[in-house]
Amino acid sequence: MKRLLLALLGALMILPVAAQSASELSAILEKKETNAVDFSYLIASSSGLECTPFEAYAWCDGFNTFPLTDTMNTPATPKSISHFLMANYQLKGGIMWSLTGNARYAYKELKYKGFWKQGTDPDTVLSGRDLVRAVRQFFTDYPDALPRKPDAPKPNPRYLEALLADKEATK
Amino acid sequence: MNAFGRILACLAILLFAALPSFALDWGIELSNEGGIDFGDDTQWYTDNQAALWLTTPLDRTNTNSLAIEGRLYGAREAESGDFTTYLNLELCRLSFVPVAYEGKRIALDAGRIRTADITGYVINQSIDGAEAHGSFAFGNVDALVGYTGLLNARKTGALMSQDDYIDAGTDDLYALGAKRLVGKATFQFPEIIGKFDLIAEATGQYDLRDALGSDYLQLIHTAYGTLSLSGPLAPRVYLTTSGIWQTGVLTADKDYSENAYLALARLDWFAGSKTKIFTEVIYTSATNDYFSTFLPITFQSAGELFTAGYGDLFKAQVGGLWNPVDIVNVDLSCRAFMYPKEVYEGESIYRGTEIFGGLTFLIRNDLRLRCEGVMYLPKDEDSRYQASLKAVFDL
Repeated sequence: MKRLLLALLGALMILPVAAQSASELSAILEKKETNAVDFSYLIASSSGLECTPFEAYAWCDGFNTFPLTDTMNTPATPKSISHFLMANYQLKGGIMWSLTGNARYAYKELKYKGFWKQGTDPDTVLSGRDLVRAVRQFFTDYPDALPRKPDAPKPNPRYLEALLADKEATK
Repeated sequence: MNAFGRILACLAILLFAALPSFALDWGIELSNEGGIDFGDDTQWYTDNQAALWLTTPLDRTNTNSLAIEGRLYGAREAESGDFTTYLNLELCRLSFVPVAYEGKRIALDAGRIRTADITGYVINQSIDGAEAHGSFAFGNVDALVGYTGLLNARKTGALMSQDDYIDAGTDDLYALGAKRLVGKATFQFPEIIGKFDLIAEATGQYDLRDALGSDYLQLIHTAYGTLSLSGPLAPRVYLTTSGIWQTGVLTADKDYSENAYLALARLDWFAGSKTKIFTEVIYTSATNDYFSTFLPITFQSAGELFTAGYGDLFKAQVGGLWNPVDIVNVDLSCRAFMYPKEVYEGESIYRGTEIFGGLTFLIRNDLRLRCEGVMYLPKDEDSRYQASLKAVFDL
């Protein structure tokens, strides 16, 4: 059963079908506070993947740029999404970003480039509307940006455990 | 603790209680400049600065915020060879927007804030106080009230009287500045004459040295009235004309009137998306029976190596900015300095010419390099040159 679920998850994650579910998008737009799953869904669907938010998070986590302490419920902030975009879309940055690869300098880079307005709170939790606007703005500003190849093409076993736990709970 | 102290303590507690709910954005800026001065002797000089800045929003929409910037200065002067060091709190600004409707917006900045008059020649410095900015359907109204006595005298720029210069000539890390109460009110009427904006401004300063019981050699109270007209003369060509009338009284052994004026005309031509050319002429009143020297609140030298201020000055300047590629910026200007009238019988009013050039490279987004060169050719003295290299690194 585990193998079947892993294979299913893996297969879904590599399906390069461009589509964004209107219902998922509406749900994100209505949120006052978004999280890593919402961000992942927008990123994955912008990259042409047809997947559920959970699968999108697993795909984004495969890049190994989410901090180890982060969970699916970790809030989406300007700093956290800047780090993901700078690290995985291979954007050039300043000396401090190149030396540290730190989320703080990722945010500063995008702020410098005008992506974030002056005075934006780097740790504020983005609303659904702001998150959708930010992701769209990114692909407008960087139309040629392509994500690098994920470090971990296979899904992390912890997602399987989460799936199984969810399945047990619904029994 | 007196009432003022209690209010400050309450404000500080309220402020720091609010901080944890919002994030703090911060940064460090390191700026180092080294240069060579070719005058009577060849001397080297440095100017090193380290700044720490913090900003934090005080609400979700970031309409209310707090910004703080402190700076440590260290420099070696070319002429004296002395090393000087001092600390300064450059900014501690609480910004509020209490009223924001369609067609009506009132914003308030309080604390240590930067302020300048519409020309930048009367006042252009930090000040402790509050400034309100109102935007209405008919135009914009700004009002400022502030005090300069808590600023660091070594940085303030508020140098009007002999006492101010004495205060500034100290080795202390932090020395209290000139005790002046400053007020300013600005009215801007957009596109009131064709496409030209009209700005009317009243600025005043009151010397509080006698009221606060300080010793003094001079007391100076001044007021300035400014009218300015600016707008497009042709596509890509903008004209600004301003006139400042100064009145006041200087009290020393007796009272002297301080009536003066400054007239300014400036033309900016945006020759292309990457090029700007400008020319500017400034004329200030010459000392005679009725007029005295123009005496602004903030002292600013009229040139780089020409260190005199704007009093008794006729200055003509032409310059340009060129941005050939995103990472390079070139600026060049030439300034001629003259007296506004003949000072010595039979001699010309010409004082000297300064040529200034700078090249800024954006090496990376957080590292800028700037090369500067300046040459001053005075009328009756030897020429003087300076060349410097500056690096600014944002951490």
